[in-house]
Amino acid sequence: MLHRLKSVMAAVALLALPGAAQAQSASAGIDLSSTVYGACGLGTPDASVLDLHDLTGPDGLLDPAKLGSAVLATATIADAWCNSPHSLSLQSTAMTLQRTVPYAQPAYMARRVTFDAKLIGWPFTATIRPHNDNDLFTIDINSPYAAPAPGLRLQISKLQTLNPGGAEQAGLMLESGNYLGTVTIILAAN
Amino acid sequence: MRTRLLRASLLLGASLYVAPALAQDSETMVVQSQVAPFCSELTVSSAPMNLGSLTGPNGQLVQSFAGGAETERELATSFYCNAPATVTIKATPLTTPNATTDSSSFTSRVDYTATLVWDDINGNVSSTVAGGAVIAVPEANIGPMKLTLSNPAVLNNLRPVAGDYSGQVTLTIALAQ
Repeated sequence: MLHRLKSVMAAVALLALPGAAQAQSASAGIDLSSTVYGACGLGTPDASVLDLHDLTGPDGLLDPAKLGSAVLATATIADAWCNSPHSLSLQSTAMTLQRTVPYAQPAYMARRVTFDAKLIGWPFTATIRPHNDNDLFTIDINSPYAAPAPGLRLQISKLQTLNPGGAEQAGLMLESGNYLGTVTIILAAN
Repeated sequence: MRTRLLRASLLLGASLYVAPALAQDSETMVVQSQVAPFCSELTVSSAPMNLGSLTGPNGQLVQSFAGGAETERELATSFYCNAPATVTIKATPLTTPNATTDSSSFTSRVDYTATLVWDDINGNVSSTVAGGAVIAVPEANIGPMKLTLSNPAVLNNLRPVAGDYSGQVTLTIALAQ
């Protein structure tokens, strides 16, 4: 009789044991997600105006010192980066006489000047030599990149006069006045 | 003969009279049971915690996760273990498969801190610690369990490369016995 009672008690105890929602251990993995959007950035250039000073020599022709590969002016952008594949574009307009001249351009005179605008500090050195307004050079780069110190550098060199047709022609006399050209650097995430 | 029968009847009557005193007895029964140590099961949503965009306008890592990010999640409203236990928390970093050759400027890994609060027990681990951390639970515990993510970090202030990032926090609650 005593054994029967003990058996009954044990059975009751077993029925009180935990069910399927309980375990000796528990574990779970919580997944995380986040995003970094493709983007590029360019810091402020240390010079927004590159002054090439007087373009002409004593004879009124383009100064020979400005014809060669010597760097005439440099602008540096300390913080240039793209965190994804991207494109680098240079858009440039030739230096152009800024005053209105009331007569047609003589054949021996020049009102526009081209130049080499070379960009250094990116995986590919990019150069544009504008003959017109808003000439464009673009190259795709398939990985992130950031310019190491001192940064992205734009160098101006190799000036040459342009004839009315937009072709380079040495020996043309420059008409007096202010000349202005532009170089725009564009980094765009693909 | 009558006398003999009478004596026999009296003796029988006497023997029948004392019989109840000889039937007294006692029994002691032990009542026993057990409570096995156990924890409740932990079932969490399979939806990832979305930490939002990791970078600001300058391409650098944000100092804290974005305002709309899910940086907190209640994993259980009332998780319990009826005996001392340990909680092992491991955090794998946020990574993207997008590689970069410019490793001096960019990284494809973002670390963070994962903090677990279980009633009055709490502990944290950085995803830089590969082996994770063990939080001791010295006695039976019951209460809400919450996971919080904070402190995004990259090595050497590198910019994270663009892409989708994923990571994981793993919790293992085991009885200490």
